[in-house]
Amino acid sequence: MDSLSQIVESKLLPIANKMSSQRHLKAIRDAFMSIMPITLIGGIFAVISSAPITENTTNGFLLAWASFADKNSLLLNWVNALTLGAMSLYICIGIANFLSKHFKMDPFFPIMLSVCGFFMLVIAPIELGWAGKTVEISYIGGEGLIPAILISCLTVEAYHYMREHNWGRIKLPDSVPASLNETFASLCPGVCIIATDIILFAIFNAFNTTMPGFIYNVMAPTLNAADSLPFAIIATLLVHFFWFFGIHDAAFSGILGPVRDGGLSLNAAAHAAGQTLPKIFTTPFWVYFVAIGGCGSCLALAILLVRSKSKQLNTVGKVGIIPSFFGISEPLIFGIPLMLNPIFFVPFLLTSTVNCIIAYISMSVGIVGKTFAMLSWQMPSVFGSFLSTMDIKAFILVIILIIIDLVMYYPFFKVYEKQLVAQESE
Amino acid sequence: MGLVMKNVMLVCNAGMSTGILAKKIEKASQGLLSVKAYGEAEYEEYANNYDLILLGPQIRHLKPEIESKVSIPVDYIAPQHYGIMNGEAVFQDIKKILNIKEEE
Repeated sequence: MDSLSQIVESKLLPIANKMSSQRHLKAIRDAFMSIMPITLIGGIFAVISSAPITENTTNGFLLAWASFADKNSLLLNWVNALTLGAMSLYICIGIANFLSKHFKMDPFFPIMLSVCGFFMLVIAPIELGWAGKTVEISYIGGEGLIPAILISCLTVEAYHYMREHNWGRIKLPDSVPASLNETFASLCPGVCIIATDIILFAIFNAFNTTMPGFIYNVMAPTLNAADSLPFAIIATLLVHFFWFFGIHDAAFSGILGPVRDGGLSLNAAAHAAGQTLPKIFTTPFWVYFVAIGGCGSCLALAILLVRSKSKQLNTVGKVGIIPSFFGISEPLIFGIPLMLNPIFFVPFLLTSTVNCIIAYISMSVGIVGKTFAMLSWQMPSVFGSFLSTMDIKAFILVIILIIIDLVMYYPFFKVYEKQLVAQESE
Repeated sequence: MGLVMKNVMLVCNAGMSTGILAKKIEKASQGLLSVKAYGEAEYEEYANNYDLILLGPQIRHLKPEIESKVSIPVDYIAPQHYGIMNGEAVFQDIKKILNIKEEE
């Protein structure tokens, strides 16, 4: 095993490092991590707005809940529309901020210019009258993620390039305060960037479309492919393959984040509008249904460990089961260890994949409701599955999946336990 | 090792799993260390106040990247200690790293 781990250290680690530190992917990843409060509030309000009642419900509390949600639907939907439903705007700000920090620039101007470009290209004017202005903001949600990523990355890159090359920097006397100097230095790049945004808007407008509308049409096949069972399976296998070598899947978050959170935002918007939910592969789908107990779906394994006859496994299980309940499986991955442990290679990759396949099919045929709310990465699956779908069958599904994981891990666990018990009694 | 308190920063993806370990190391050090956990997106802003950065083993691939950004020693926590959240063993490792540093 030593030689294999050496190959990993020399081959896989640099790849992971490159992917993790590529500046755009890193900024995207950090932006998605930073909008947690936004997705949380959106999720809570989506849950409040959907009391789990049927025509036969007689429970007083649930009926009161439903009537409260009904009376306050405007407030609840408004909050949802401006949090989860406006995700692209916050992502745009986040990327501009983190990318500027990467360049060691003050993020204020890049953020301002990115938001200006975002409004110019993603919001569509309907009527700009004197008495009131009406605009279409549907695209500031999940559909606007690709424009948000493009606009913020290109704005910051262009701004950085022009500042570096001193485009239009005006030489001011030393007596001019430094802050004023900074304002002038950003003037020319700012004007150039906004002018580009205006030209782009004019072009899209001339073709009777908007940037997100255009991108969405062109990329529709790709985006639909990203919400398919094969994509979900490949993503699950790839993430777990890296985790088998003890490498965090954050390296992929720059790509998976937009797909998963974009799907969530679309579902939240559809849910608020009372429409059928379009997406399955979302962030809550991943957190609550695929990686149950953290990557490797380790919760089932932890349940086996706490009853193990091996002292080592027993100790690891006792330390790891509570974090795993909250979706953190690192103690188990490094403690058992699952990392680079050939005995566990197959179940480590396959448990989450099987969870993914069963949950995906259950949702696509309509047995279990799809997800429309994300509470927290640390919310245990047994609760998160229910709250993210408001479907009690989702809770039952997760219990079944944990049992399946347990059965899958069991034979491999027994082999490893036998080895360790033999070693311990020597 | 002097009696001056040292500040150790643990970094993992979101500061969650290392957060559990931080408290255990602090306890094992009996007041010798102040240990805090940060996420990978935020650590850089605080790095100036610390004497050592220890990475969670799951982001050990970032060691060269982080080393290039800070002027303090960077290492990663041994996976086997990390797995059972062995604060005492990590404390012993930290003592070694900081001692070597002081002898220079």
